[in-house]
Amino acid sequence: MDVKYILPFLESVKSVLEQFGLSDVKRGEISKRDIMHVKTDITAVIGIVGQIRGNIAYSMSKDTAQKIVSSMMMGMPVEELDQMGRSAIGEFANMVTGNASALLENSGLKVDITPPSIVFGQDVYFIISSVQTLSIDMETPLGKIEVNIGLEI
Amino acid sequence: MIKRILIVDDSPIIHTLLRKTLEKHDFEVCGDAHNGREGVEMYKELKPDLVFMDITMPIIDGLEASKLIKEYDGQAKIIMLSAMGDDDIIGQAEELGIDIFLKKPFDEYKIISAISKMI
Amino acid sequence: MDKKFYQPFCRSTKDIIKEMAGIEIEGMESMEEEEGEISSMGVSSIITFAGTRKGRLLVDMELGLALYLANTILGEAYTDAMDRMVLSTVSEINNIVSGNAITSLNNSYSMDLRLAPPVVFTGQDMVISIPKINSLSSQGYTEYGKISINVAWEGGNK
Repeated sequence: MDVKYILPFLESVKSVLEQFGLSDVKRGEISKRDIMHVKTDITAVIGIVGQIRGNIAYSMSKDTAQKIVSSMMMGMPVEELDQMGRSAIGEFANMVTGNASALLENSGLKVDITPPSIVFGQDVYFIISSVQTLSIDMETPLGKIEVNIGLEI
Repeated sequence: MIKRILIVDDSPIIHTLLRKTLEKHDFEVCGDAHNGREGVEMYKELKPDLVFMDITMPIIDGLEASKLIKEYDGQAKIIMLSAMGDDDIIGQAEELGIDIFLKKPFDEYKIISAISKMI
Repeated sequence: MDKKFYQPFCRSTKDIIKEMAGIEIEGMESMEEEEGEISSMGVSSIITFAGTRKGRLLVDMELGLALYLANTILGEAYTDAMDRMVLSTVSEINNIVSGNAITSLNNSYSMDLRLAPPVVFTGQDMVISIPKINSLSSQGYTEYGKISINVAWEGGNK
């Protein structure tokens, strides 16, 4: 997978979190996988169609998810992920992927994003692509967000 | 002579299923390609008698791969085998000179009768 | 959104499982509005699509049914849900079901829909939530286990 397709997603995680006042987002470990084994609590997955196809899955702990929702809501305390909280995590996945698709479009690739789904459950095995999935840990002040990129390119 | 067939599809399930059907009828599966680019490369290398080509695939799709194969070999015989088959896609396949367009799922009869029309 | 945008997925699920594995799905005739979230029965697959509208098909089934489908379609004896071939069977079934359903929607209503690749997953106690989007579900039964589908369209079904 060409790095020029990967960077927009990582940049977007950073820039979306910056919009909520969170700086100091760093790229951590990168790995390649056939089957994604998620050990955190929450995965938001969203599809891409158009000149490139694929799925992006963002996995994180419940604690990180609650903190993201809280910062999206101007610091309002979030004790649990109710309907509104889950909706906010979907919105976060939407914003990051939408932002990335705009960056891809700037480089001449027309893509569209599809509705996000959120999967709760520890110890879940995923396949999100018929090719290899690239998994990148983004270390944020709110905890780790694992960005799994399964682009069919 | 045993006819040699190339399968181009991103699903391992389709490879397994098609291979079973084809081998049962004494065809040889000479290659398994998992994306459009691999399909074009393997076509050039293996010169199969026939190609089964999926459409939505990584790297380059089946329509683009068929175009490249037809440019390389105007006589290439390609059967499209896709879960997607709306009028727009079938129109594009026809323009490329694809003779047979099969929709997934498939059964033995569908596959064998399509082949007998081609070779 | 009109029922006609949901119904093709029910029909397609029944037809394709019958055609590929030779089993009948009982039920799965009507669709009910889904409230909130869905507890997975074992193995789930999601395919999303976009065109003039955006939507999603979730196919969820019990492990026994997933294993039966893989074993019947591929002629091997798989026993583990985590086996790549079992997961790939479920995602390929979803791919073909969605492909057929959106082909008919594209031809009837010029929706220009294209599929994202299938996502498939398995694990214990999984719950799937589809935020901010109304969806309809339908349940079916087979000799080998239960299956359900959930269809969601952005813009909703109101």
